[in-house]
Amino acid sequence: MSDPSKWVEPVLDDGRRARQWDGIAPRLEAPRRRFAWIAAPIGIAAAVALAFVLLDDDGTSATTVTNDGTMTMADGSRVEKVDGAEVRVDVERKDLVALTVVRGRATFDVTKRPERRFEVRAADVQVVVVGTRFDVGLTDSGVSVEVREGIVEVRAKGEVHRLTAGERYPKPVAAAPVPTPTAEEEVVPAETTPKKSRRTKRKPKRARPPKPESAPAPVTKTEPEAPADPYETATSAQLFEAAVVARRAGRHRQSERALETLLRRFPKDRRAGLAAFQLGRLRMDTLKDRRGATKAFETALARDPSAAFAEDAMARLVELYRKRGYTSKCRRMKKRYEERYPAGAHLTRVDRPCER
Amino acid sequence: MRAEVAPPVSDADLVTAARKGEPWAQRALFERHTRRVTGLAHRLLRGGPDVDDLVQDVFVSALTGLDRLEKPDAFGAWVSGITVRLASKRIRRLRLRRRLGFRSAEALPPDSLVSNSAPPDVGAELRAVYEVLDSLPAEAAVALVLRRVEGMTVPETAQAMNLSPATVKRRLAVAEKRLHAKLGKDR
Repeated sequence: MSDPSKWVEPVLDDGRRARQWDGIAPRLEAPRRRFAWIAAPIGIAAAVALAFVLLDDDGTSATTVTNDGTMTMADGSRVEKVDGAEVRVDVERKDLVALTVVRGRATFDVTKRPERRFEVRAADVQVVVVGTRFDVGLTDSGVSVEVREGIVEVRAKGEVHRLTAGERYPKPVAAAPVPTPTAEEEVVPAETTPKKSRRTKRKPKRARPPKPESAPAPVTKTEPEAPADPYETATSAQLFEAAVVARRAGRHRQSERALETLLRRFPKDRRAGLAAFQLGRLRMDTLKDRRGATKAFETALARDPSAAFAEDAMARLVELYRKRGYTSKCRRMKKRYEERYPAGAHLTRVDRPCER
Repeated sequence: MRAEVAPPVSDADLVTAARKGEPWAQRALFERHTRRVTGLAHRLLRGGPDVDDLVQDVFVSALTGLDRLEKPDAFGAWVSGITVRLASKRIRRLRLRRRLGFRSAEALPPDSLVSNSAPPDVGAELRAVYEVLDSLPAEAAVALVLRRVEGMTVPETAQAMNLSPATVKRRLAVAEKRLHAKLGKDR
């Protein structure tokens, strides 16, 4: 095994290099800082808690986790877990912090930073804030959100609910997504504001003043152009992660939807090829959707013809074309596979007559 | 008449220029070595969402700390060492978070990480390496990846991890035992 690393290579195209450099260049001007691990006792009420301070090497971020289940993020936001709750950190960057409540309840005390979007997800509910304090709980009976300070936006089931201090989700009457921009713009992430104004422009019939007692369901059904689905505002990394988690939990349709959304919203993302390949496997092996699987594998190969998954994708396409009766396509793909992978791992699978 | 081609600028020359704050030299060092660093980060962090963040941290650390580089023509090996060190920190941080109930987004599964073009025995071993990593202490996990995936020798692994060869051997002993058990079970 002279160079095993060549079998575990990332995709590194010009776009990715450019994005990497975009994250490096501005920091070359910043003052250098020292880095360290620090473990120090901290007295909290009657208990003594150990705080593990994890500094990044340029000292520009620090996450503190105490053994009583409280985490202070690099931006100063705090997450307190209640009674064995489980919280996952999906993204922690200067412009975006994204967490998922996997189980139980946690309190989020979010520092107000207009340049940073802070998101918390629980199941298919997404909470987006700029600076506030709120609880998110996930139990057997569902997701609940309670706002203690400030204003948060809850996106669930295709609806958007804006909650102020003292309000909860779910509410007896769902709030219609009616904005009052002057009062709330400061707490709504910039990228969500255009969606809201677009929505109200398209629906002149809806009453402008916020009337809570409006019928909740029809709002989302009549607004296909501006869905408030959490997947429509997730990053590509979050969608990829959501697909993996859903697949492992046996929620195959949800996994399919996450991957489809990723491909539709981020067709040029570095994960797009792999996402298409995963979608193809899901459809072929689990959902038994040959037509959908064919399309996905073709997309995967079109995106990344020389990626690590290309051999598997080509072999599966040979099989799919054969089973679907596309003899010419089967023969062409088979020839392509054999030329490219003369000692390929799927030769036995590929080497069957294309004629049924 | 032969065309004369200017010799490529050496890493040592680029480091000298970058030390003077020349942006073109900093960018050139990045372009020349990002494939090596991204590949190493990808294999250590298992293709997870932190890879590009780590790559950025590595180059920021390297390009702002060039005065620490004793041999300018060894920039490549030096930046690889930085990658290993910062990756080890990230792995420890992610594991600490996990132990305290704060999980992080998952890395790629082994069958997506390892190319299907790998010879069957090579592929099986690489997948087994990635499957046992979670069960190993952080240093042992890093040592195993450097040894079995990067193909480094024990002295090279020791240098990359800034540990003594004896310590690396002890870490590897734990890791190899688990790997052999995994490979034996899969056969």
